[in-house]
Amino acid sequence: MSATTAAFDTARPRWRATRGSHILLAISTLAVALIVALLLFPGVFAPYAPDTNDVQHTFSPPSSTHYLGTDQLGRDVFSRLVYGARYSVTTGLVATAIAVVAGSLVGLTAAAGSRLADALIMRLTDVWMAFPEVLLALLVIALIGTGSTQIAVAIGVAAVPYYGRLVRGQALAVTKAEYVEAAKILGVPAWRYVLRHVLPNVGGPVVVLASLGTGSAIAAAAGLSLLGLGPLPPTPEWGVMLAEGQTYLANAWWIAVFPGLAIVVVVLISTMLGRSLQARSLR
Amino acid sequence: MTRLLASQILPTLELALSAAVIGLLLALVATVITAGRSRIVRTGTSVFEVLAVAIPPFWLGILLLSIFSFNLRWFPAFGSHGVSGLVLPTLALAIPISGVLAQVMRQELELVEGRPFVLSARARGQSRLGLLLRHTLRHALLPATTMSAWVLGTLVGGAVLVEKVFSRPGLGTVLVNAVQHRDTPVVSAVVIIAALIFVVANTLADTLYPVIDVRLRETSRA
Amino acid sequence: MTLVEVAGLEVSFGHEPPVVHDISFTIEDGECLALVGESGSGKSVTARTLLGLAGERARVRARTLRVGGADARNFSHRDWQRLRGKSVGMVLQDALVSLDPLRRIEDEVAESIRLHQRDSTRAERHQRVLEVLTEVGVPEPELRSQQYPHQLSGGLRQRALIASAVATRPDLVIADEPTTALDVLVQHQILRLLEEIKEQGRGLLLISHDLAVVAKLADRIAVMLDGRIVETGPTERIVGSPEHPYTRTLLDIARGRRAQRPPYTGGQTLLDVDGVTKDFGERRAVAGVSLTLRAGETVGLVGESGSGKSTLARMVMGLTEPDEGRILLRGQPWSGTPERARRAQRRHIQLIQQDPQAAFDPRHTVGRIIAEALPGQRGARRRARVTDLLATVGLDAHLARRRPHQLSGGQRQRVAIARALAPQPEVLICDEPVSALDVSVQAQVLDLLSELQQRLGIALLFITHDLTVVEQTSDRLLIMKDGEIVEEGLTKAAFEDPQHPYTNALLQAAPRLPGSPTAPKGELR
Repeated sequence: MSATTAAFDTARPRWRATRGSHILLAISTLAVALIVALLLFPGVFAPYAPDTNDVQHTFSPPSSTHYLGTDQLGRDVFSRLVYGARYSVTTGLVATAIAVVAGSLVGLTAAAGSRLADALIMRLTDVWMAFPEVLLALLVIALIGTGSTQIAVAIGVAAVPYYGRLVRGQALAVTKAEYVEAAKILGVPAWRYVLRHVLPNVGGPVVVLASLGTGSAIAAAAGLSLLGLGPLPPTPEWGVMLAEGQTYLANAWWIAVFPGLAIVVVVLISTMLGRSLQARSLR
Repeated sequence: MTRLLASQILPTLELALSAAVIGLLLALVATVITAGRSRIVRTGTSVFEVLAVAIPPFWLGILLLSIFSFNLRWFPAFGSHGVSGLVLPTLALAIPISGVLAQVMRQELELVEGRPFVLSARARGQSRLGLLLRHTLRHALLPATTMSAWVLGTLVGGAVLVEKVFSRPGLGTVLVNAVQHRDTPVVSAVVIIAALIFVVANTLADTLYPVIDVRLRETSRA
Repeated sequence: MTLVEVAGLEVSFGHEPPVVHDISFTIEDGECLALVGESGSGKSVTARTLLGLAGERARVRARTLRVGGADARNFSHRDWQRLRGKSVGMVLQDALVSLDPLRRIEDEVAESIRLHQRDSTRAERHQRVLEVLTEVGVPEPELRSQQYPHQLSGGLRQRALIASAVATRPDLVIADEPTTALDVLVQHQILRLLEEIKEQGRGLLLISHDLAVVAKLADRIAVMLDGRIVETGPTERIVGSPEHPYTRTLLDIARGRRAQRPPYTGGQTLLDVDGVTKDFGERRAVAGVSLTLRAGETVGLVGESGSGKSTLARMVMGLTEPDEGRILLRGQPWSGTPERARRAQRRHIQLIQQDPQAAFDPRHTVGRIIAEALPGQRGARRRARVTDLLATVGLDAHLARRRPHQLSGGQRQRVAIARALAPQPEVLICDEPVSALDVSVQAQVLDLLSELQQRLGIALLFITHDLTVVEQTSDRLLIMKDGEIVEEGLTKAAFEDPQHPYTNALLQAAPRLPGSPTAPKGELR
């Protein structure tokens, strides 16, 4: 008596999406905890020191003694990656922190200021965003010089307008939101509804963007180091390792490939964290 | 200096533009093939897209070099020898950007597929492919059009790094030398050229947008 | 000829319990069957099943499922595509989103012809598009066919959508809430058009939540509740002597037959709006409107979209300043005073909006939302007051821990009422308080507001597009058109003897059932 008919449909059950985002959030939080542990106690994870030369074992491929192989000086690639996280990840985090703080100031000034100030700041961010991020960072480095700190500042400065626009847009949308109006109707004073409704609702998306942005900031920092603008060899910074390893790509691929893989993993973790936070806030 | 920049800008533009075209094609193909398919297919492709976005072009370049130049010896490892020298750097730039474009298009597509006008079209007997080609794909292209200037800017920025990896001539070499020697005028010149490219691309996108989105044309005739 | 024959139809999604349960019906040509029910009753799923559009994960089982003379139980994708748009046409609600915004009207109307008459030429299709647009009463079809949906008014868009459904002359037309998003005058015209389609000998399946809308058009009515047909029969029988209690509830709501309000006796003037005007650029949104609201009184303010009623509400709430005129609250100046001075007075006047979801901070729980309206109260005392307020609006105390998105529409509106009552206001402004709700929930919320008013002696201003709502609740009636008040008086008098032609048109167009307190007097063509 039965027949099943089907047609394509894109409606997805809600609970599945929600459960998925919970799992994603749990995994990415664990991964972030692991990275923090790496940053604080690299010695616990790395079997060798990052700068110990071993002329007997240069260019050995990945094995059980050297998980990711050794480089041209016989240094253990895995240990260098673990210690290198201190340079690469920290640079990305500092850059994002600079962008968030400066961007929030810019965005809030535009949202709260006069119509003229708002228009001026918006045109400024338009111009700012017209420059590709990498090139703008290069310009900043040309002005302030090379090095890890300089890279962090350069990447942070290049990312400011994105946070500025987000904060301004959110601040304006939330200020006009009916729930803020509802608080006003109840006679809640301005300072209190800003604290209670506006700031938390503006902050949420900024946290999401910062989480997504940290990954690309780390990748950008590695890219600038690859160009030789960051720390100098023998620093185990991932971009520096990439640049060094590229010379030996023909016979020892692992020296250059694994630092890049480390960047990809970190970017994926930051994307996962950002996406799962976003999914939670949209629910 | 002007002559130096002029001779170096063409290889970079060539690389960025071919990456933009290939990236858009890859994204379109991925979207058309997977639209309206089962959830497993779509989840699978979105995992691929996230992966593609996470890969820095300069590292993808190293990976491609290692596989196709040093192991398989299909493509030259260095320099720009016509088309064959362009293939790997183009892919290194195009694959990550295609991930971004495909994500944006798929997101818009899934949003649009929930709209009542799609149900209307299906109720008239429109097939899966017909629905995509006559209705939904146009909507999905809108956000991608808005992004085109940003895409081009990102590609020019990425090209600087990819050029270094492939030892290609172009703005990258000029720029890195200038930055290392704190030669600010040259750096500023390059950055401003890139910004000009962005502005031109943006203007183009703005003129193109109303061609696709009729709602932005004048609305007074009703 | 029998166009549709359904017996023992059951539709379920995944492993969840069926949303359509053992339902059976038939549709003959030249006949209109109406499926009436509220959201979640399964009426739309049933309609979509007839086109194989119930959804990818839908499991459809039936003893009989014959559409257009063929057994549809084992239809392939291709079989369904051949049926859709050829022998069955479908019309959805709100054509602004039901027509592809990026395509010309002509492309949308011609789509089914192109798909089902593959040998037709471009010129033939163009000719047919003009023909069918003329048939559905679209003026200047040459011009309109080359326009895009956003360039047409709501009524014309809905006509164009109907044209796209009947372009291939299908035997059966399914109309799913075809008039729901339309203003009352346009709604009347679209119902007339559907009637003509039926008179041409086509079968019509009409899906609606509103018995009053379908009663004029349908030959037979099937009332759906929780996926089952609880009562079915000829329209006169269902309307005249309903058997199932749910049908009776729906009829009572449609007729506005509810608890009688004691007559209003009068009190002191709380709100005094005197000649207020508001311009937005060139456009005058509100033009010299005056009204008063006294303690314990309910005033209904009726207008269609764009009439300026919401701008008026914002001025009354002190959210927008009038350009001219003034507003007094409890005899004190209200408009034109600084916010600092106004803040202390705000607790006397509260607002209930159409969409309470938007009026709640999505991050806060219901308890916190209500507590915000109770400044200066802390701890156990505040919790007790929140529980009290929830009980006042008929909600259980445990809901205080939920977030707004975890509540139903009716529950959310009750929370909004609880929050509005928290500061013990004397004036309550209700801007479309029930138009986002199902009809039986609407009735409950309206009853709650009436009861609260009588108990607490609040003055109510009801702003709505829906005359039925006003008829049921208001002592006095104001009708607003293009920013001006065109009719003012006691509700009963205005309904029986409207002074302004616009009021008359609104009253005539409003769908209503025989037996309503104020039945229509003449036919509006």
